[in-house]
Amino acid sequence: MISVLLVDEEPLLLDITREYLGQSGDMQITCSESVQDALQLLEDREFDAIVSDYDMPGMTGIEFLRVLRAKGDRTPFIVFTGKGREQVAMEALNSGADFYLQKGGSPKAQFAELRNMIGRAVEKRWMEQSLRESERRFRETLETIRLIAIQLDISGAITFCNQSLLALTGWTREEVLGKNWIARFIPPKERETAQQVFDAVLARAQSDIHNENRIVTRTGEYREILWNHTVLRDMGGSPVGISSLGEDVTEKKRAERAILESEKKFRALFEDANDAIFIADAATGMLIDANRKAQEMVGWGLEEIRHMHQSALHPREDQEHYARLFRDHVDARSGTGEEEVVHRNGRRIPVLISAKVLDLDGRQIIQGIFHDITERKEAEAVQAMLAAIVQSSDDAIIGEDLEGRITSWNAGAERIYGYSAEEVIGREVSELLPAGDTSANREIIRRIRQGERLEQVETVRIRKGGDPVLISLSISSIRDARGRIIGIANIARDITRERETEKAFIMYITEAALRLKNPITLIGSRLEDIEAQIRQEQVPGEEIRLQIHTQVMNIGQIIRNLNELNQVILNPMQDVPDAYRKYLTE
Amino acid sequence: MSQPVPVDDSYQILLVLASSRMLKSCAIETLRQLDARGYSTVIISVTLPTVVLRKMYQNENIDPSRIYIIDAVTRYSGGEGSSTDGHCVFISNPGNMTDIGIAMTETLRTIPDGKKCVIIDDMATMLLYASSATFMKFIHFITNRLRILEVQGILFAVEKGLAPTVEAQLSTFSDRVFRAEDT
Repeated sequence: MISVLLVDEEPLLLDITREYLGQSGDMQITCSESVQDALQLLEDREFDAIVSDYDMPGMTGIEFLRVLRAKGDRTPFIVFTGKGREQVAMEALNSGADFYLQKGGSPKAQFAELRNMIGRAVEKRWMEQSLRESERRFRETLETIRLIAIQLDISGAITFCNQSLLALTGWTREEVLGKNWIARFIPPKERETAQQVFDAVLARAQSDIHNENRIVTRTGEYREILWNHTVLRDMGGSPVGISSLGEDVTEKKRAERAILESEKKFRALFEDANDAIFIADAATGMLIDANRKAQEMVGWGLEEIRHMHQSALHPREDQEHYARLFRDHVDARSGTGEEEVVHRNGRRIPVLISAKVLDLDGRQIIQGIFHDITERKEAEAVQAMLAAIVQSSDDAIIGEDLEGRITSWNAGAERIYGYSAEEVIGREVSELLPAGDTSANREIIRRIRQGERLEQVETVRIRKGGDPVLISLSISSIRDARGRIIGIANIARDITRERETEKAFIMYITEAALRLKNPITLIGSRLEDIEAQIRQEQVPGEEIRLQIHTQVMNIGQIIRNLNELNQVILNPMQDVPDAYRKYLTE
Repeated sequence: MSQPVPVDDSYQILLVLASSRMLKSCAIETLRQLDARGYSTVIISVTLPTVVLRKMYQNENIDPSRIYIIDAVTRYSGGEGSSTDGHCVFISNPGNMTDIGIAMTETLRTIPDGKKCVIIDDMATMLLYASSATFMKFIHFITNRLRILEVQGILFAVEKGLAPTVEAQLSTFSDRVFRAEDT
């Protein structure tokens, strides 16, 4: 129902107008015969529309209109007068009248026109009210939201800003409103870009436009704002400004940058790690990622690895073991162990695996760090081989610390000295020395500590039970990986048999000379004598034969002696091949 | 020629070392001197058979009546080895030193009183048939026996035919060592 106030000095016209306008039942008509009455009515209530005559006593319809507008009353106002002057019409519209209608002509048509004007004016009024209400609520909303809200006119002047902007920037509303947005808030070096964005936003047809820029606060701090711009348009669709909502994303951006930086660092660490790192899905075992070292280790590229199951990294024949190991690591959420991986070319690589299960966005992954222990294994193998050599050596190899205490004792030492390792470990090596000779050991330790090495010294040590044993002794320092002397190595060879053999050979050579060279010289001399006797024909043939035979027998004896000597020398020598033994003794 | 082997009372056991070339002439010369001085001589021969020795003495005008031979060569060399004059004992083998020792003792007993001398013609040859230890025991026995019986002994050996240790031991058993050298 539209409430209409009719103001006219002529009661008859008021009745007729009320009659016409009230016919349809959608208008409630109130009549007033003077402006004063009308103003009095308006003190108490509002009307949707006012229809006023122009020419009334005391105050014209235009003056009535001006009073209302001066009071801020925006009620639609229609001037309905008999004055058909163009000047009045102009004055009425300039004073804020919504319509001007001249009395006269067909009443039916006239009142239909008036009714139409009232409807249009009220509708417009309602729309404006609705719009204002909407705008009020919108601004109220903008004031309360945590986002920054601003409105700029087409010159860039700030027509609205909410509390969030003020709180963020430290400016007061009075210091902001009416000021140019770009001049006030955009850092100097970024103003040109901001202006280009502003112009582009105004020029664009679509309503939602996003961008991101920095603003500077009163204290000079920079804040990063993510904007959503909406172009404000008038009723005709022309742009009149921009309404922008901004989110302060400074902290978010910092966090993003920190995460990005962290990710970069992690990736760099991951890629540049000295160990191979494989990442697999804990549920399926499928490989997800592998760093550069991992790719080098197995000889497969990342894309190939990403289509591989973790079990493919290991020897095919041990699949059951590795499947169980993977499950164990997943169940325990971590695990370590020395295992093997297989290079694409089939080469096996010993590795120390450290596995850890991680939860990533609700997904369980397992990270395996594979440390190549080939060198360590090779070193261990060499060390084991050396230990085996030491242990199986016929030489006595004894390790002692720098205080002269025995730290290691091999089987050769056990054979030569008669003590078991359990009996001597921890005891002083000087206990093996003949009584009164211990000072020599202290001197040896002193020299070894200075880096000297004693080579092939022939000396005597005392076996378990007190018997002396003749040894050839080499003493050298034991150094750690950094070259520091940490102990002393004694390598002793029992040379008793060697010396006995030498003696036997000297005896053999001497005896051989005595039993071979000299007798043969003697025989030669006697044969010469016999030859002389034959030449002189002094001796009968039988005597000559006897003498010659004597020498033959001597020669036979020499050979027997030699064989006997060989027998004596060779019998204790186990290492003479049978063929030679037979040749020398038969 | 060499200096003559001293034959006198200044020693009881004499060790004579001569080169193989000089050994025979040295022995002959010694025998001649012993003969000239009235010695009865027992020759333990490991180098020459009796028949050769006797012919040699004959050629050298040495009286064989005071020469007794213990022959360790003839039988060993396949010779007959028989004697009827009581001046010769045959031993089967130059290495059979027990028999040689017995033969020497027995022979010395049969020799009438007077100056007696035992000669071993070459100890180096004896060493062909016995070990050094056995040989040294034998020499030790012989020299002790001779000293007890107050019989002189002249032990010939080829110089450099003995091991230094053997030569040193022989020197300790001897009162004197004579080295025959070419003059």
